[in-house]
Amino acid sequence: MRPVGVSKVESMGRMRSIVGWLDNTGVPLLLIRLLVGGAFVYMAIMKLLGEPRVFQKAIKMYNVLPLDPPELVNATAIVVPWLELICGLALLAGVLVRGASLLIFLMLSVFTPALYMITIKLLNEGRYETFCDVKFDCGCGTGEEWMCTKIPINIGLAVLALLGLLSNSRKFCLSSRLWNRRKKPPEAPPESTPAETAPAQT
Amino acid sequence: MRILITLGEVIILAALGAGVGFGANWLRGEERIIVKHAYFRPRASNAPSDQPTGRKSGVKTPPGSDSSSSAAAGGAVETTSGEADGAAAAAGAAAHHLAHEFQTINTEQIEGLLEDAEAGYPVAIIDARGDGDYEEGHIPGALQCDPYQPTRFLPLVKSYVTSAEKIIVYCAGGNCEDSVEVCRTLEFELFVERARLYLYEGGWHDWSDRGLRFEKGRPNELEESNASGGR
Repeated sequence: MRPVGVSKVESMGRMRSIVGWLDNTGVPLLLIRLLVGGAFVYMAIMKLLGEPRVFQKAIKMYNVLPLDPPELVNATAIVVPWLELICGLALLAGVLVRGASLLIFLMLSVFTPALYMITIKLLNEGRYETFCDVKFDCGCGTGEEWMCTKIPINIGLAVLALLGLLSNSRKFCLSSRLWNRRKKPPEAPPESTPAETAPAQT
Repeated sequence: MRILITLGEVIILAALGAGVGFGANWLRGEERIIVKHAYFRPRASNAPSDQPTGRKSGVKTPPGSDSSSSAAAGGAVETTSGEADGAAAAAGAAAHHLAHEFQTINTEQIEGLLEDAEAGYPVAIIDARGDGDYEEGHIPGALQCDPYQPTRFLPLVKSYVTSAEKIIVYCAGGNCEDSVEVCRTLEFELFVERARLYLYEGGWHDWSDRGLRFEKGRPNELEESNASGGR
């Protein structure tokens, strides 16, 4: 009779090989890049086309940065929309994929709990009755949104970004094509005939 | 190794983001975010009327001020606002959540002050909204002071507020805090005494929903506004 522990190890090994095989196809990473990269490019463009004050007010509302000194809040308002755009484009193009995924994951890890805390605060103040009644402009560039959809979407994007970070595949990525071009071996010299190479007989 | 590569990618992306961000901000000109400017000041702890206005009618003035006698009436008008539509009622209700250290003023009191201004009483009315909103309509005689464009507006507003005995500041109303930020900026950067500052919490939503007179566009000259006593 097989010990129970061995079958667990086997099943985990099988699971890993299935996941590895799936990752090697490059399709999951491609889908992640399109979804997360596309979402971030869209939100960044909406932020950049709007007034910077909307995002400044959102940063103040999140209450994650001190208002004094003002440089921190102001620099964040200046940099973050462009960082979102650049990370989104990097993901779509398939360059610096891990770095972009990590930055996106970090941004979502900060913004999403802050959104949740604001939602809870508004509920405690009695301004809304239920979680799904809460709606406000989170400064994401898309105007007022219902928090009971916004927060789960953000969590989903964060999970996808994390999977993108952990993926080993680089299929369908621009970086792999650029890398392969750099590593192309030099052309082999033409083969010489025996008559040419034989030393002269004295 | 992979961790180092990832960190390197993060540094490259962050540097790109910062470079492009600051460069694009510089290109915005007067509308740029000024890194060292305090757009949001914390609430002063030594406020004479340091009580949250949010729980009551939204009309809270220190005793002895001109508006205190009509505070109750003004409060009643603002809270009932029976003739106002849902937007005004919502704005009025939501305005109750602003916490600040300034005296407040209601719509009827502003109407009275506008009449006094016609007789020469020095009143300054400041509109804390952006260009588009201001030009679409503002309280007669109001001068724009967008808190997010300090270099553009503070020099213009300085002489306007220096000579005024009462300075009324408003923005959209409801949860809009821009008027609070302008009041704090006037106090800390132009050294306007807090006793002269009045916050119109109902804001533009309340004024327009009551169908009161308003102006459109932009005054041609600041001197014209000053000469007419803020009208």
